[in-house]
Amino acid sequence: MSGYLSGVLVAYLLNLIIAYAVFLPGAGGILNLGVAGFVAIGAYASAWLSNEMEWPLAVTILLSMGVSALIGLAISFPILRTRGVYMVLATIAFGEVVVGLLINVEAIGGAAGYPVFEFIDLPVIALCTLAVVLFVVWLMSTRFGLALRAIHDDEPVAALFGVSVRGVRVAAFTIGAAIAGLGGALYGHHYAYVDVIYFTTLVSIYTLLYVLIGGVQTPWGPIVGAAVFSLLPELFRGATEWRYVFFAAVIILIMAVRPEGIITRALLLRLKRRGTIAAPTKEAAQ
Amino acid sequence: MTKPLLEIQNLSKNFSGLDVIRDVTFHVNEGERMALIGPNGAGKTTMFNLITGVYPVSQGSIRMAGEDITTASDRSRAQRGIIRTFQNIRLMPHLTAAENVMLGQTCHSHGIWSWLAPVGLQSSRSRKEADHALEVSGLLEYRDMLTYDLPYGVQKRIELARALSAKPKLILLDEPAAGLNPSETDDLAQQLLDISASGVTLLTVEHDMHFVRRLSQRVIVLNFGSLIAEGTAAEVQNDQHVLEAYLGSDRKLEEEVAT
Repeated sequence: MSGYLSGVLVAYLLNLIIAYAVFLPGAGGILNLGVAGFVAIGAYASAWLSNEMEWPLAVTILLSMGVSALIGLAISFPILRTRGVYMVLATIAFGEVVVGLLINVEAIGGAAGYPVFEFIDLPVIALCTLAVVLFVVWLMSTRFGLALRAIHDDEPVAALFGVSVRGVRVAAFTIGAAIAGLGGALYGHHYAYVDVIYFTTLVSIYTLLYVLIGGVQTPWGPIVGAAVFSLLPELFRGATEWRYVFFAAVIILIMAVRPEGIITRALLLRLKRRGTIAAPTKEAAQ
Repeated sequence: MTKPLLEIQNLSKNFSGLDVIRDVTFHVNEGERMALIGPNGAGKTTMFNLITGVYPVSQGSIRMAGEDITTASDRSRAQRGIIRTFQNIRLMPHLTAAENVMLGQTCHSHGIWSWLAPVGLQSSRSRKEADHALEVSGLLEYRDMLTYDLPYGVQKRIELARALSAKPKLILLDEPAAGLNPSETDDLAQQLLDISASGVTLLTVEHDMHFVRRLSQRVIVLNFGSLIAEGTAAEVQNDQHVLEAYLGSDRKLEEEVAT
């Protein structure tokens, strides 16, 4: 595989992991615009544990996910008390606070950035991405996933049928934080360098945008959304300075045509039904 | 049969100075079919919201099966067997009919495994139960369809199937016959009688008096948040207070004619 291709692929896979970190709370109607903060926590935690403690990568990555999840759990309580635009602002504030704190810690390089010595390449990143996709698909098919989607549609009614709204939302936010931590850890070890300027609110905004473009109704949405965002600019590379103009136009077009995201429940059910018509079942034959 | 299941004692609800429910006391016996009627704005749906825990009560108490649930959460009331339907259908639009019914099972899903086993698989127990519930209600053909574009009558039946899948002790039905045609209303009444025969207690808000007469053993009447009459359907229909509440008092009518 050429260096260019593997570079694009790694960027796509890392974007996809972070997309799932946003998707999971998003499926329950929580807009997390602070995901870059959790990515940064994961990146710095794994880098420091690996550089300073010299622990094996599997351990440092798992621990970095744990640290990110714990911080996610702690802040989920105040954040989930807020609603709508206030929740968006609260999560943005969280992301900014993380960056503001990290830039002042000299032990991890401060504003100068922090080199990471242990290297992780494409195959490991691909395996981790696959694990995240399978995990989220499984989670969304459980009663937990059902409850999460019910909360997205009608929170009071979900509670009237026995769903612990607070519990499910906290769990979704926390698991999302852990996944973001994984994305950050892989990021640092692949690019061998972490710097707070990589984890700005803009990253969070882009991630939320492509998750919404892909669609939050099914766990397949982020795969498409992240692809649109990671691969389209590459396709437009030939257009040089017009590249991002075309890209923005395509994004606006997608949002106009598919306001609920490219991949929706209705779309998947329609495709499935078409599949059963093509191969008639016993019931249909009668 | 005469043991009270739901006991409402001196219940009041006040929305920023406006008394919506005023000192209402009544009870529903186990296995009973009771109707709650009253003119628009009488506080019927508010009463349901107080019983299910959507709103906190201002004064008074609510007991379910002998236990005080006045301050219990909406979720814990569902787990105690109080389940409702809605005046304006509130199915989850992005869930299929089967998933909506499976949501109803949630109040009996305890333990980590019941939350982490895939319910989406056709072979899962939850899914089979949901399919069975839909089949019994004649709704199997809709199981894999999103509910938002299904016909109104079908949505109402799915809502009832969802409520039943929660294995309720008491179902609160908020205008179950509204918007249904006569034959659908007839089917619904028969279905509710069957549900009642299986031991479930019914409390129904309904405007269709024919439906109320057929379904209910006892009727209570609310007007401006106060309980004004209680008895069989025939009794309350001839009650002077009830007639005044619905039609206005004779005196008022005479005054209006005079002016």
